Amino acid sequence: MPDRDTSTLHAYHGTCLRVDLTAGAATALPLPERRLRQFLGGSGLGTLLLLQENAAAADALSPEASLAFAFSPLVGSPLTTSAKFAVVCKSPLTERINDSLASSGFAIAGKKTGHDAIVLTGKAAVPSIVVIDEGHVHLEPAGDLWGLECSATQQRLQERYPGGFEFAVIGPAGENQVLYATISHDGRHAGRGGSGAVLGAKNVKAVVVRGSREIRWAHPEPLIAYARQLSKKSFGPATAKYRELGTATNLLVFNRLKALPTRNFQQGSFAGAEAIAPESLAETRSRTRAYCAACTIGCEHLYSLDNGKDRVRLEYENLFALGSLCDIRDPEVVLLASKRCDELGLDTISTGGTLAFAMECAERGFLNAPWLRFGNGESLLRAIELIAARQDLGDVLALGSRRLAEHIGHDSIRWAPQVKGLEMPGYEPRALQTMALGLAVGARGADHNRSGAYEVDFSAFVDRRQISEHTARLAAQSEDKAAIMDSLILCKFLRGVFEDFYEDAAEMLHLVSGWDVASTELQQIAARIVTAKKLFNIQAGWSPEEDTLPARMLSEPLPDDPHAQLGPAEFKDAVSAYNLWRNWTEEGWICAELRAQLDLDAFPAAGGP
Amino acid sequence: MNLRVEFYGIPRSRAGVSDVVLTFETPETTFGEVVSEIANQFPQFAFSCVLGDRLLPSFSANINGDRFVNDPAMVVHHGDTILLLSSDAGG
Repeated sequence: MPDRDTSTLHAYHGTCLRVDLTAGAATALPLPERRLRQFLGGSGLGTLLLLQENAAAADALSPEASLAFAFSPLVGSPLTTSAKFAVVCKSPLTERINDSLASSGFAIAGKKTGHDAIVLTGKAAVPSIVVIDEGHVHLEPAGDLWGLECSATQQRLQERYPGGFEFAVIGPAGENQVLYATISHDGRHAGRGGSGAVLGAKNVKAVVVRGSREIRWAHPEPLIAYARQLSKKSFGPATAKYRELGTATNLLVFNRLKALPTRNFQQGSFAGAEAIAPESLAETRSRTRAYCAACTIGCEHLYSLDNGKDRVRLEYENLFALGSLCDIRDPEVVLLASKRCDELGLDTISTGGTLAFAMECAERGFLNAPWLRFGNGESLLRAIELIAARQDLGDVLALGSRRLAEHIGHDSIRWAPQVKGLEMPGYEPRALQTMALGLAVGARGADHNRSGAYEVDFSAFVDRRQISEHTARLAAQSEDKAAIMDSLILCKFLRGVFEDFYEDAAEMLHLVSGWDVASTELQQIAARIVTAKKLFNIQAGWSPEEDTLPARMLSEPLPDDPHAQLGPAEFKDAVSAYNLWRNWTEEGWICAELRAQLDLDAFPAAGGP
Repeated sequence: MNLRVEFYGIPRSRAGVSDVVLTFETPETTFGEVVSEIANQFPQFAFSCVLGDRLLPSFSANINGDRFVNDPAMVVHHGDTILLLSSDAGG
């Protein structure tokens, strides 16, 4: 399509702000309409920008590395749950593409600066705050903030920058370049893959944004009418679980199905599940709800600690990673551990995964840490502090389970709970085998946000403990849907309200941008985004052997459910089928013809056939 | 015949109990009959989770922790345990 003058665009500004931290200079770069339509925003747009930056070639923690805050066409609109942004960079943990999303005011204020994305590259000479006030960019010293935890940093910034500013910050874990450090905004986190370490390596403590640039909508009145309908649906049964109970209510269900990873994935059920389940917590602790900006669901459920004063956001992933995975049965410890991770800026899944792995290694006598044991809450809390500070054993724990396995040896990589270096979320792959494939092939590693294949396993369409001829297609379709949701961006907790997701997504995009986008075009956009991520990974050194699960999961049934078993040969066949479904080669390489078809031929695919 | 029904998540909060044992006069029954019987016993559950003899799409059922079911004609047997839960397993 011909590129229009960006000043005539709706829903977009048509520019990306590129900040060179080394030079202390910023440039507004045009974003052609053709590319915006091809990649939408958020995760898709961020991937495009990283490909253009040739970011795959750079070490993730080097000054040459680039990190993109990518907004999206729906941000600022009245559509519920649309105030979200993506942080896209090369992960220091996986050395592959990483896109993590967070919500709320930063997305709205960031887009109002007049840019669809902000790319940071280079390295500030001293700890700094990147201030983007409308189109004006400057660095301010952050020496007084360095060392502060996330909420304290946010509070100090609010005092220092009153009047409409929003903040993305790192905690001590990011400063110390823990490879799974987060970027925090308003208590929420762009959590996975270590984007906080990338900011820390750039000497950036915080990014501060404010703007007043209005965003024009193509069809404002129908957009408002549509948004009202969507909000109404968001109060219905499809989101009741999130509104009333939160994600943590998964715990008892997963436990009952023996799909709850326990003791470093050595079991699928947990004797302490009832004790830490939100249903029990709600009986003894006060609970409040919180909302992201522009959200009508309000999925966040905060529980009080024993002191009655502090409150902790509790999600299923925290509960599994810091509870069952480490065999912690004391709810106060799980809540405290979650809070400390949030404050220090640590990804809870990778923290719990790495520690559970270390606990098993210590138990087997392969790691000299007699204090670190399953079920020992004190040692869990102590280890979290050591990781963030990178002290003693914490220095190697800060590298994640894959590197820890390399450090330990003894073939411990077989039970390191990771794919591509990213620790696995709370979905036992042997018990949820469509999800198992989704976890193995995910571009950013083992991941429950870029693949929602567990939904297929929780349906009558498949036998969840059996890979079938449909597994590849179902896993790919789930990933495609997530690619669109993460690029538009809409909260995934809304997905149950759409009868035909692609039709609705096309309608929303039409109302904000004016583009007449058919469902089929959106499906091609999804395929392009997923393929672009794979292309990045190929450029970064991907090999087909990465698309698998830890060897233990492919060689041993789940001890508490002998029917839950994966075989290496059938699993490899499923990966091949997935690759072919994507029109990649059987091994997963991308041919020149497909790159041309998806308009990705500007980006070379090094390696492969 | 006796069946055990376990409630999780929203179904539990609507039913107000974590589980119940149902008794039928026949040696086997259908999943639709089970849903209807639960709806009779737990009106709040019926109001939020049931349409006729089916669960609303936001809710799922699983038999014995093995198979997910949505066909009302599916036969269930004495001793089966039916789990009722939210369809959306996202976390």
